[in-house]
Amino acid sequence: MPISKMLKVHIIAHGDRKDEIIDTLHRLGLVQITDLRERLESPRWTEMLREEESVTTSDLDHQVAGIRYALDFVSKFETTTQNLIESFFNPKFLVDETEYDNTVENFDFGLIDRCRELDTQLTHLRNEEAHLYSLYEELLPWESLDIPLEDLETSHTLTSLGTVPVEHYDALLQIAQDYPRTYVTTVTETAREKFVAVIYLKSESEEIFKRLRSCEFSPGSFQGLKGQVTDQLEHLLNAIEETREKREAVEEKCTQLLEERLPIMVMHDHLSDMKAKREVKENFVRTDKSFIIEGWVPRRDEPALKEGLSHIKEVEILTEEPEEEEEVPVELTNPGTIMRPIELVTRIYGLPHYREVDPTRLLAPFFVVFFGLCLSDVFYGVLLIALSIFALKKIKMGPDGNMLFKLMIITGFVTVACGFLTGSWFGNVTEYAPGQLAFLETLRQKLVLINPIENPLGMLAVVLLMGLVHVWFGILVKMYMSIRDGFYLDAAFDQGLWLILLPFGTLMVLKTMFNVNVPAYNVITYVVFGCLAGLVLTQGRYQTGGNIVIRLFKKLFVGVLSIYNIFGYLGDVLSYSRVLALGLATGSIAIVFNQIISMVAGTPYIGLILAPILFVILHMFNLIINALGAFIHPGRLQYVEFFTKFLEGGGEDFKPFQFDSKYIKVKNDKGG
Amino acid sequence: MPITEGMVLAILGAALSAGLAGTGSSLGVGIAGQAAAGVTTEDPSKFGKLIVLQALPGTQGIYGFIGAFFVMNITQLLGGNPLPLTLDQGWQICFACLPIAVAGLFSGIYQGKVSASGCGAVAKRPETMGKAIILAAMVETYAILGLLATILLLIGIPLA
Repeated sequence: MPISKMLKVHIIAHGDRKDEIIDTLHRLGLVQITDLRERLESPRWTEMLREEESVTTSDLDHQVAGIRYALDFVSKFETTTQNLIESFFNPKFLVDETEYDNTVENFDFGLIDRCRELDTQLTHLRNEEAHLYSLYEELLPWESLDIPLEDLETSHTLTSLGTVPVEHYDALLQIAQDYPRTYVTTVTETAREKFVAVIYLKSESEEIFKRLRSCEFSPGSFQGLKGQVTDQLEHLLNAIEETREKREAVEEKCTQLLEERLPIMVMHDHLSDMKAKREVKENFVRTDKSFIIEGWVPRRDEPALKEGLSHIKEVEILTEEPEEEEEVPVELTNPGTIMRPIELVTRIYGLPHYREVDPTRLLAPFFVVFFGLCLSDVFYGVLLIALSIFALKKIKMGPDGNMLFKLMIITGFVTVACGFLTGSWFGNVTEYAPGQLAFLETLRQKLVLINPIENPLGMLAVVLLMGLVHVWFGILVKMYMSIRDGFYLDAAFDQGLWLILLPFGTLMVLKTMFNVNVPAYNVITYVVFGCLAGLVLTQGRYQTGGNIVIRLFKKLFVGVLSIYNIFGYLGDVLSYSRVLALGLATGSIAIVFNQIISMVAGTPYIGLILAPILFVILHMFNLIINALGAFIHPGRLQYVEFFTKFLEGGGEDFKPFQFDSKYIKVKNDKGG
Repeated sequence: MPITEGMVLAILGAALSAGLAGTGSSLGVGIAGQAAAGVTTEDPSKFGKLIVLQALPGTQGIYGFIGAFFVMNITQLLGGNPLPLTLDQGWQICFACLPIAVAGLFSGIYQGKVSASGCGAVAKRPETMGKAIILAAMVETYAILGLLATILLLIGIPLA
């Protein structure tokens, strides 16, 4: 059974041994520790126990926060990007044990302050640069103004510089008409605004201001500026350049800090781990002199746990079977090169409950066959295998990614097989094969069992039949579980009747609706009606309440209603038609692509260059899109059509107390 | 061979199939893409996951295209020697295209919305990726059934 049997473990020891025991458990990594404090609510425990005093983790929290900040800050300067696949799986960085220990010992926390300092400098310089640049932008339109800025005000005249909207320019000129000793000149203009200088007498300034406001004149600000505008602009440009250089120097320093990224990651994981260790202590309860830890350990690891703790004196380890209704963490142990990758399909759904079955082995054949039928192409299968092997060899992906590509190798082989049977080799590429390769086309046609493009109805029948088998198998698994748990009546009536009804009912439908010749049709009819009668009579057996008449009526009513499940199963089976549709999609798109490529190849000269490029691009596109669909939809068939027959799920993952890292992976199994 | 009135309707059917389902996909991919771009600004490292979620509502467009391809195939438009379809046959082909056209249009949009929510889920908890994909794929079911209905109908139409 691939769900590990768990034992509940209690470790009771003297208070002095606490740190030693925690360190040992952490190193062993065999036990998931439960929070005991909620038990304190039950009176049986409160009499003798009290909560462990809360450990102050605040300085540690502070350090972790600082490290996280530094990591975020430094990461901003990362320029080499991960490739797409690596970023998909976020692989961890490998660090060996000595390097880890050295980093932890010699880590300079001043680094965080340095990051903060650089961050502040950088913000400051960026603001400064933006400010200077906006000044420059503001002044730039006045470049051709040849009055020194300090001369804007003389003893008798004032010069206002500013902008007016184009549509009010005439009104502005009118001012010059009305006040003869006023002079308006346009320095520059854009499509919507004119940049103007208005020179007027100080004595008339009040009236002029009013008139200026009425034509939406908005004055520019040149306070504190002296000399020619061109000089000012040059000055500003220099200042901008200077700040930019300063900023780049600071950024350069920041980029150098990238070298410290790995140590920072190591520290992050180290400190988080220390924090986790401290927090675990809060999950204990204690008496005056002793304390107690509760947890879960897989049965196979029980001896290793006792052995591991044997060097500590005054420790009592008690193990017991989990109680009937208790929530037990779930650990799946699927062995082997084939089942381990397929476990991924189960994990995407979530873990089964401790007392259910691990569906991995059960879904495996169906999943890979449905995947193969959805992609169903000889060369796509070969490509999938080749690309997966390449990815496994060349790309760092972490365990999840490795499992995914191993799964793709398995499904790739099935895809090749399905490709032969459905006669799809890059779609119909063999039809284009030149003379000496024409035997491939003959070979293709010889191997075909059923071609879904020529005979979609035949293929539909095949996939629906597979769907029926899948659903039927799901009910069978439920029957096994019922028998295992001692619910014999459920096994006979809730599952057994349907197990008979589904195949025989299908035969009956084939005969009545599709005129298929079915042997011993009479017997089949009796069996079907027998099962239906059985369902009506038994499905209401859990109905209670009311007097005997009402109860009988209720039982019968529920029994009749249960027949309605036929439509549920019908819908389930029809859902498998997606396998045909996805298979058709792969094949027909490939055929269209081949046609496009052959048209391109026919173009003189460039055709022969373009065609191979196009061939690679188009077929890769088709492979990727359809491989995605071929993973998702067979997955859905497991989760929605298959699992619902026997699985509730919602199991909690078994997380042993051990070194748990986010960024790095320590070689030599540091900390278990 | 001249193009008959029936062929005009068959072409309309093919156009609806590729056009409407493609519209559904582009709307869906657009909706999911906006959400994905939002998450990318927060955490660029999730780009690989997000692009998968964004691509999910793209399949309706492909299904619509397959519908159009089947029309071109049975009417021999592709071979450059189109059948002389009668008006009746033309209508039959045109209507047979509707399941994937309509189902593709709407399921594309709604799958886009579910994918967008999936982007949000992945932003908070990257490990929910697989579940987010499956939730979006639930919507796609009806586009697949639409395509299947279209193909079966097209195959059933007798064309001499």
